[in-house]
Amino acid sequence: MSIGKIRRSPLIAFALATITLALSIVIASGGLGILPPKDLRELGRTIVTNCFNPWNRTLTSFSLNAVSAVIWDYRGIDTVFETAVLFAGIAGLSTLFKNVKGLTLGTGGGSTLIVRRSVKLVVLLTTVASISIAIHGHLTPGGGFQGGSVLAVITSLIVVAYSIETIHRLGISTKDIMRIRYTALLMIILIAVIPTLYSLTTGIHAYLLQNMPKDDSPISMPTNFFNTPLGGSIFFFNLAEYIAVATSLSLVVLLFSMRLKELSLED
Amino acid sequence: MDMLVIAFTTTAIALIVNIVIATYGIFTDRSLLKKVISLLIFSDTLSVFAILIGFRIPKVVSSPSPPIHLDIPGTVKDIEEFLTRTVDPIPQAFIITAIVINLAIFSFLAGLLLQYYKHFESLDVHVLEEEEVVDEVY
Repeated sequence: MSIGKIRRSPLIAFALATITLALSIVIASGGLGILPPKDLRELGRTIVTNCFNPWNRTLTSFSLNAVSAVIWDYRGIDTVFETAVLFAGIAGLSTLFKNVKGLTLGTGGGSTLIVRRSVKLVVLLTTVASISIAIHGHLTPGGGFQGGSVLAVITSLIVVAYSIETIHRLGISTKDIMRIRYTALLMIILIAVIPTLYSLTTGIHAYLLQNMPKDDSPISMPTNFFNTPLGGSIFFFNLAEYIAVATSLSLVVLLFSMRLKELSLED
Repeated sequence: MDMLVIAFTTTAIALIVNIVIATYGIFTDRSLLKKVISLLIFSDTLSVFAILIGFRIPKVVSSPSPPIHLDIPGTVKDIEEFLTRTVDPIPQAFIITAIVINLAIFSFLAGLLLQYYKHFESLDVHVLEEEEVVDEVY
């Protein structure tokens, strides 16, 4: 069937109209509950109650930000696999670019002086902001992924304002970035298995990815850094995720900013 | 019916229409790049939809707040007060996971598209089919 026939097929129009109508009726008749809801759902209520609750030490995570608590404590394994998917996606992408010629170090003029100077300032500010977003992930809105995406903006800024050659002149190659990524991933896995390793050496029962003490396991990650809540392992996970995401996205930017002739296959 | 309920239901239905239009784009568009953009619109609409479901208008206070404690709660009362005004954190946590996975998938898809373009010098889905037809005719 050619594309023109598909486009004009009454069956497609009928199917799409039916989907729209059916889902609209379901929502209008309150299939998702009354929108907007007035009360929290039961699971959400439990998590909001316990995300920072020193009076219930077996369920709390000592994180002021409930979203971070869900991401790295209550559903921690989910997020570890999410990071693994990101890793696999970027690994697949770099495999696609494996046999290309690569950078033909030209001169790479870049933009005008005004743009270059202001980018220098912005790079500094962006770095500080991204670190702040990442390490305050358990206290304020933000987290490792958000901070990492902000840091990756720097790479694209440098590529646009200076040139891709500048990145290589700074001594940063895709191989280095890959190495930092592996390290960050290993850090995440290591933080996840620290309680288990501890339990193997001492004989006290502990779980994988454990953050705060449970009924049958007294082990706990640090809860406070002086007077600031640390959220146990959430802070360390955010830090590792920050590095992993920043390097992943920088790698994507570097691969996609190659010129077309550099992308042709090696002879 | 309350105006707010009507507004929210209309938004939800509009998002469903958006999803259906994106599905239509994925099925029928010739350009692979536009197919990928349709897929991106599809997934982002789903994200907005989940956030919309997680939103809430509290009974007691008029405006909801994000699920983040502004201060360290000193008593159990503080947590109970926080419960009366915060929105649901779970859809937000799901969506940040979904965004990361989308990012991985779409950067891989973009890489595939680049390779496709390099090989066929076109992003048309039927470029292969048409080449075969031309071979048959001549």
